[in-house]
This record gives sequence, C-alpha cells and structure tokens, in this order.
Amino acid sequence: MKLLSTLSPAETMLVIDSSCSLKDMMKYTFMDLLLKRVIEIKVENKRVLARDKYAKKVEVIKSYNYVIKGKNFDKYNPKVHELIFLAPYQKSSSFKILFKHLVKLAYENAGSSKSFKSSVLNSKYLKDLLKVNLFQQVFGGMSLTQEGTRTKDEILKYLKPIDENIHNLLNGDKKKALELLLSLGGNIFLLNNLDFSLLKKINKQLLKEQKSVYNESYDTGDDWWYYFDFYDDNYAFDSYFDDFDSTIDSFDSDFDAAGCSSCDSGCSSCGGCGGCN
Amino acid sequence: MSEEEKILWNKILNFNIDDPDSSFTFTDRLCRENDWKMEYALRAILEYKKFIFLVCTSDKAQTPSDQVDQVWHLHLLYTQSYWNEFCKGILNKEIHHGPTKGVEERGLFKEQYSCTLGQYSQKFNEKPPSDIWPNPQKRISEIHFSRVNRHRYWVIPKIKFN
Repeated sequence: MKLLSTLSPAETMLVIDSSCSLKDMMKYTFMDLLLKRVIEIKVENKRVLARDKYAKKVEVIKSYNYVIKGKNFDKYNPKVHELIFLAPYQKSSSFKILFKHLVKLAYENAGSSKSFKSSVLNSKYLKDLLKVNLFQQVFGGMSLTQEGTRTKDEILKYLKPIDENIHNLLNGDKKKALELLLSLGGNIFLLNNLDFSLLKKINKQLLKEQKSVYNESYDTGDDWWYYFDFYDDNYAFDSYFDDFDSTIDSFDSDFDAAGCSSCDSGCSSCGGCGGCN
Repeated sequence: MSEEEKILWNKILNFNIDDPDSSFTFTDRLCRENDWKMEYALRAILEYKKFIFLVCTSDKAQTPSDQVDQVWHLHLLYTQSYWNEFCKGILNKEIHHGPTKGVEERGLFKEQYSCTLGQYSQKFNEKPPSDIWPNPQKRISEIHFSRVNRHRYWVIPKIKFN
C-alpha cells in the first residue's frame, strides 16, 4: 500500500481516528523523525554526587539524553506538523537540547490539539480524505470524506494482518517482514505487536537487495528512503516511548514548583533561590 | 576564528547550563521569570554563550543585549555552575558583571553594544538574530523593566501605532 509509505504516523492517525490524542500524535511524530535520522539522540555521561544506602555521598555516573540534528536533517523536507520539533534546529545548527526541554518546546509549539491537528491537515496527502465544516472550524473536529472512509478501511485492512504476523515473520521470513515494514514507513509505530529489538536481526545483505528492488518503483529523491538508514544503522530507540510519556505527564506538576530549594548554609526559605553550598 | 578560539567556542557551546536531574531547570526558571517560550529561552542561552565567548576573546569591554543580560543575571545566581563549572572549569578566567553606573554611561554602552554586534558578525560569520540582539537604538531606549506580581496585576501591552 503505497499511500502508507508517504503518510507520517500523525497523518495516518488522523485518518484512522480524528479524535486521537495530541500526546500520541506528538510522540509518534518525534519517533518518526528519529527513525528517519532527521534528529538523533546523543547520550552524555556525567559524574554526579548521590547518596548511597548509608546516606553517604558517593560519585556515580549518570546518563542524560540530548537531542541534536540528525545526519539527514539538512536534506530532509519537513512537513508542517513536524516543525514543532525541528524549528529550533533550523534557526541554529549548533543546538543540543535536553530531551525533556525539546518535549516541552514541542508541546508549546503545538499550541493545542486543535491547532496541531490543523497543521497535520495541511498535508497534501490528506486534502481529499478529510474535511472541516463551519461548525467544526469553530468548535474543533473534522470528518472523513467518502474517499477518506474508503482509505481508512483500506489502511486498517492492510495493517491488521501485518500486526498479527509481524512477530512470526521477523523470526522466520525476514525478507517478507522487511518488505512489509518498509511499506509502512514511519507507521510501524502504529503496530501493537512489533518488537523493536527483533529489527536488529535484519541483515545488511537483505537490506541491500530490498534497496535495489525499491529503486525501480520509488522516486530516489523521496524522503521515504531515509527509513532505510534506521534498518541499516541498527539504531534502537524504542525506550524513548516511555520517556516521552513520563516527560509530558510530569509537566503539570513541574511547573507548579515554587522555585526554592533548601541549602546547606543560610537561605532556607528564600523566594527564588536555587540552593547554595 | 583561530584554532585556539574554535577550541574555546566548542567548550563553551558544550557546557551544560542545566542540571538535568532538576525537575525545574535553569531554562525552566528563565522561561518563567521572563515569560519566554522554551524555544526562545534556549536560543537566548545560546546567544549568552556567544556573548561570553566574545568577552573572552576580545580586549575591549562588551555589552550584551537585555535578553542576553537576563540569562547572565540568572546564571550568576547559580554560583556553583557560574563560578566553578563555567568560569573556572571552562573559561579559565573570572568574568565579572558590571551594572551601569547611571545615565552618563548610556552613550558609552550604546557604542560598546554596537561594537559587540560587529564583533559577533565577524567571529560567527553571521548577523546576530534581531529578536535577541535588537539594534543599538532599541537596546538603549527599551530598558524600563519592573518585577510584577502577576497574582495581583494584569499585564496589558500598549497599542502600537507604527
């Protein structure tokens, strides 16, 4: 199904269920950009002081995730809704942004669920599939056109057997599995039964063969080709699903913080002090 | 930029101003205290780093924009990060902040600010972004800031006629 390889996960979600949550749409957009290596995670290790079980101060090494420009950033042609994550890197190429700051930044850039969905709706691929009437323009929402309803059914019909069989295929017929996964582009995140660790088992020779097959049917200038980089580099990042959820969920409580922490000497109840030694 | 300057710039650029373990980081505080969006705050921090680089590599005094100055003020409050990790660990020198002594210095600061903009373009091969580095006239005229208790007061922008 060629349409799926051109739709981003957020676009597909809108066709399947236009009431989908902003959080999920943002999460899959972020993961899709990682998949295409438009952005990358850089892990930095830092020595920090922590307390051991006897409350004694000990030095430990902790890892922190930063997001930087990926190897395909400069060549990539972003869709409007992807700019919530990419805009800062377009303004300055030297940005290295703490993962949780990028999530917050994107959350701010998205505005509201309604405005983010409007930006997704801007896509040329959704033009004939979704419509917004006057009432929906005011109060939010959108509905499928006749063509959209037909496409939705086709997508679900296509995804269901893949989802049911992908686990077995990755353990058995890897060629078929790769063929199907590539046909989904970034929509692999919509599969419930995909075990990302199994993707590392796909060998390079198989990937090379698939590349030459697709060379004949796909435009070589298309952004879809960036998905090969993910399978080629064995780039694993599915753990960020949970990080993304917990970061967004923590926003409400974090921003209620009074801004004061106690310190070892002096100001224990100051209005805006961040602590002293 | 000379090779030596490139090394220094990379060290400054890679300096992590935020404590990643804090649930309310330096950048979060910068956003809250200035009513800035996260993206703008991150860009202002990057410009602050560029300013500090200019201070370190020039013999002449440099003047920041108000936005960059706000980042500097806040960083000065994080004394451990500013004096130990940044000045001592990265810059290898103490960079002191000198508040203005009054109206009589306005002309001097305007001139210094213009020189800083020039230095910026020369060192980084690009113009400073105007939303963080306004022109010298605007920099000197728009300086009337107050701390406002937003539980008690609304902030309503003045109408612009131009």
